[in-house]
Amino acid sequence: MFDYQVSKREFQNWLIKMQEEYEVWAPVKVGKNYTWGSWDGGSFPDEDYQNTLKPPKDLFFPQYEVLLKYKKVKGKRPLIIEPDLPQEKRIIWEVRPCDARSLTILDRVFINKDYEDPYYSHRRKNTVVISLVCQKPGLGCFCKDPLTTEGSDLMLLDCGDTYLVKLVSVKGKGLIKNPVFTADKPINIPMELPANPFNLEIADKDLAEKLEVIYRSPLWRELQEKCVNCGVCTFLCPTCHCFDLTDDQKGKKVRSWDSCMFASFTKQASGHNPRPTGAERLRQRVMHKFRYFFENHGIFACVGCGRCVEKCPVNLDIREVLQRIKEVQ
Amino acid sequence: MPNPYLPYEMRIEKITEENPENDLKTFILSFLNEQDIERFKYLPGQFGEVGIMGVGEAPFGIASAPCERGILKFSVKRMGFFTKCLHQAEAGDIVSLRGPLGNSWPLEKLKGKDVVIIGGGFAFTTLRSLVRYIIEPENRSDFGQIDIVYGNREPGQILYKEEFKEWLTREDINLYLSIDREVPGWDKYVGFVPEITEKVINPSVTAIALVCGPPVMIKYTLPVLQNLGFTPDRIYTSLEMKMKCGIGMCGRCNIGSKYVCKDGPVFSMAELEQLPPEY
Repeated sequence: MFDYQVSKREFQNWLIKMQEEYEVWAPVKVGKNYTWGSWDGGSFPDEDYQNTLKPPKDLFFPQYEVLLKYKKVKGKRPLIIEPDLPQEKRIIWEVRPCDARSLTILDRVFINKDYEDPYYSHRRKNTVVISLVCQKPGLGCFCKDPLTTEGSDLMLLDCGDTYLVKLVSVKGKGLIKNPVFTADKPINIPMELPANPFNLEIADKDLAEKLEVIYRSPLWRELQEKCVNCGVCTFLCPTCHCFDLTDDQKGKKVRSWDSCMFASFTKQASGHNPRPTGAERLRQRVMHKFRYFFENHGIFACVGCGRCVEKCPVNLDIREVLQRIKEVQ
Repeated sequence: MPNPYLPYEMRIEKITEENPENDLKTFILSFLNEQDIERFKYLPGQFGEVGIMGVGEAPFGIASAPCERGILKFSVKRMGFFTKCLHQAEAGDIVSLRGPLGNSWPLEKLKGKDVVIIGGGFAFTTLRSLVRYIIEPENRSDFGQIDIVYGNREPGQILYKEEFKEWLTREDINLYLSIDREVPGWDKYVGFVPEITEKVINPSVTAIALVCGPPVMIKYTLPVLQNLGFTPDRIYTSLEMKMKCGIGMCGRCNIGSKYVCKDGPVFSMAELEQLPPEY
């Protein structure tokens, strides 16, 4: 059920008002693609907006981030400086529901009972996620539920001149605690899509069971023939979270994205590599998303956004890979 | 929760060269901040990320025991870029340390049992921590008989030589030191670890074996232990992987759904049998 119906103009005015307190981020068109950028207060994405090229994970877990700084003075004790944790309040809107949901997957990695990543958790805490329901699937999409509210604080459905608004989280409700949508009282509009072409979930329980027994299958080597181990799938994936930690010469401890597709990812100083060829690395990517993560957290680490499908340089389509796995006898 | 990336500052107090090739050194570190001593609570089997600011970090098993208050000990083989830099460090230098990380040797399970410790080469570090912990007077009565088989290529490679000499004189430890091939002047065992183990170990039915060493040693010792009657849930080993974060987030040290940094590094053979052989 949606809770409000507001005109787009009114919603825009409300967001502009929110800019007094929040940095508002939105998909911004650069060339042919959309990227996450500061909202100018005016433009809305065109009708052809499907999704951003890169997922919003960058806004929480940047591709390159300084975690600590050191000052070394010869003969003296070095100074370790913890940078100020991100405090700015942000709204990101027109996030697609799959990408909003991906944040709940990253949450499980970065905020758990043993450790909390303070850089991620601060950004997460200070950010309001407003999602926009997809009404037609993109080329590579394979989500099951474009109406999922997981990870969203507010959810919008585009109805031409108006938005239907669903209040999802406490944070979302708090944001509009003042009667900002003055013209309308809460309404109940059934959640249904104009047409439902989204019945594309291929990651199901059957798959999880098959992955239990497929570790030694020759299929991995066959699939790997095509893969060039470029890592694009992992960099564009909204749930891939592997990273490297390095020290630069200027006294910074840096975290940057890394990828299980690279040999150096697991290669030890002795030269031994537990995942020596592309076949083991491809297997790790698939197994991590659809088996290991499921074992640890009860959900797949894939939201079906389709970026890896659309951007793979050799058309290695994860949907086909999963189908092949299911067909292994 | 504290920032898991913020390290302790440590001073290198002493560096011991452990072998004639001079590529194996033991570093004794002390905490620069007195109050960190209490914060750094660890158990034998855990590890830390030792760092040189501006160079990087790498994981090493803690070779000291909690009863050795105020210091931490790490034995490091020169292997790649980071260990080369660490080997160039001098006493008085400041390094960083994150930890303690990972689980520990199964101390609760070891209580009241005989313990069979099998080590090879420079992998004796966290096993040394455990032995040191067990022989601490206030802990000794919690554990049964202690057998130690420790094998090396040749006598020069033995870690902690002075300490082993002392342990040889102890009545509460059965210590079997061995080298691969005969060397003049060597009056202890000669042979590979699996065969020595088979010869000298006569375990009680509840004894627990802890194995740490080069992969080939582990591979050939496991069947021997099983022949001696050790079930997979009574054999433990400690694994190594390339690691970065040490807290189960950076994604590289997993074996199946387990992260060696967080769920390990200590696993029983029964646990490893459930995981893919990817290590």
